[in-house]
Amino acid sequence: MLDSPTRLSPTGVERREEMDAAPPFLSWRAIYAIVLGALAAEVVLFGVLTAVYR
Amino acid sequence: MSLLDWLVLFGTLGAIVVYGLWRTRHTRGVAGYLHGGYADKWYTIGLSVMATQASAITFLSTPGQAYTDGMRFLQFYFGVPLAMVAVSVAFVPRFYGLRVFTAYEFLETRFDRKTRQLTAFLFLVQRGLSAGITIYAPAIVLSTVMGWSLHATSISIGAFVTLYTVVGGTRAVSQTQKHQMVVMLGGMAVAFVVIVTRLPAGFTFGRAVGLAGVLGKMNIVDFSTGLGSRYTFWSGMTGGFFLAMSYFGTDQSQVQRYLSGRSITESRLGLLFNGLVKIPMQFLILFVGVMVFIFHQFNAPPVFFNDAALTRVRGSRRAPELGALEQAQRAAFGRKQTAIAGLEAALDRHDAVEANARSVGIRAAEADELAIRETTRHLVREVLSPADANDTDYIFISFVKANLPRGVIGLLLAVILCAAMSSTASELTALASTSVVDFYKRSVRPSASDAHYLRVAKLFTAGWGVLALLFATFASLVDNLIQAVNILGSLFYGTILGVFVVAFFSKRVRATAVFVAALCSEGLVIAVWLATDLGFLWFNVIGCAFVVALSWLFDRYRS
Repeated sequence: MLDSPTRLSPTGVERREEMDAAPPFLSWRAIYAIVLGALAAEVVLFGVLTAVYR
Repeated sequence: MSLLDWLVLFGTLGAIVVYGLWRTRHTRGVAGYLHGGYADKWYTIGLSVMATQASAITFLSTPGQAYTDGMRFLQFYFGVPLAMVAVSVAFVPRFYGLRVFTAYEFLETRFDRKTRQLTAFLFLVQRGLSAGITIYAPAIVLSTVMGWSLHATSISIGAFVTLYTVVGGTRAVSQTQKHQMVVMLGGMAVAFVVIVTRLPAGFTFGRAVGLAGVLGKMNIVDFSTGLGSRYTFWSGMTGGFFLAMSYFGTDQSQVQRYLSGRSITESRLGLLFNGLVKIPMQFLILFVGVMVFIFHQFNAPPVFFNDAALTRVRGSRRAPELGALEQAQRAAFGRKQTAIAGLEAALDRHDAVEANARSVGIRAAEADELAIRETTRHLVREVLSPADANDTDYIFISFVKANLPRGVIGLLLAVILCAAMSSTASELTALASTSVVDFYKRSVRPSASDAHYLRVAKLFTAGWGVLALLFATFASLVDNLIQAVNILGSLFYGTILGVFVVAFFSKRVRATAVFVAALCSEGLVIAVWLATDLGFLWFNVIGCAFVVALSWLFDRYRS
């Protein structure tokens, strides 16, 4: 039978632990910062390329 | 096509699919079939998410888009990293908290069944049509350029992908996508290197980029604020962000990819990996198109890239007009060659004044060529049909066929077909999941055995595959294919996202208010699309804003 949401989900402490699990490297905040920082760096780089090769 | 190309093509496609099915041969039960037993690591999720988004249209249309319109399409993806962080923070924990099979299942826990099924229905309509285009798009272009039968190409792609998706389920899809994505990225990197090596001796890569700039192709970022312009920094960061949020947060074909993760950590890392790699990958694909354009500054391009259409015009009463246009194009190309040689000599002498003068000459010759191409398009439209008049999707594959070495042609065709199969496979599993979980199990047969639901899931997968094939068989070429798919998505995504935003961030608004708001918003978005020239990315913002505002208003009114 196709499990209902409650049947499939881990329970209690197990689910809480999973939700709070830290990444295997760095921290979530640091990883988010890397992703957004890369976007900022790319926009700057592409802006420079656009200006230089206009 | 040479024997080596056929071997590379079928060897690559066959090996990946056989490996994927072999790796997932122990998958059991409907949970294993729809979510792969929650076994995927972050890199499999990341590559699978990327492969789902990268359809054949991406590899056919995007280089052509750069060839004709420059690099500015890249801005369309600026919202992706932002959206990946937002989806990781706001969506993934909520889906994991309830261990839902589909994104829409979540909405019933917050609102009610009708809201869940409305969003699921919008998804089925939009993604069902897209699945047809996903098969049709490469089939029409490949059949025309390679001289294959259109129906045979559509049926081969559709039947092959439907077969392995029905047999292996979502785990087989993820496993094959991992390797298909490697082939896609590797193939485009090989194409890039080969094109650069085909530039004239002494013409450095730096000069090539400089020439692309002179001819307006390095227009990567545009900070202008006009709402009618499709691709600007602002539309990418807002409209692109909303589209990416809707696509990655609420489109089951993506949600299913990351919900197959071993844990919430793996799912989040997979999405963030996509956020990190997406823009560089699109840059590479667009830059390949720019390099093809530079290649054609030294090797005369055809006046129109769909050679089959040109042949039909040559057989018509208007053939002399086409002959005159081809002659005019050769003359403009000759003028441009002279100006480019002059620019190179001026740059060698570090003569900035002369270089500027030559740049003006190059731009003037390019404008002449563009005008000739436009006139040719009008001619093709008049002699054949409006659908035949757009050759953007033919640029890259025509270049590959005519200029790349044996073996590499087969590899690039494998890239395009891998992309077609990977995105279609995700669509079919998502359509089947939504059909089974949100409609069949919820409204038709709530209590049945696992074996029954597994059988039904396989039947739905096959059914959606057949429907997509039928749609692909009867579709006709619509404007630029990648834009057609994105416009279609944008008409529905904003509304669906709006429902999720209300679900996540407003505890007060009740089910009926959001349901009516979603219906009104969808009507309004379609009205805006029909009545205005607004860039399609804005539909995502408008749809979402309408749902949020109207549901709040309706709820207040009811209170």
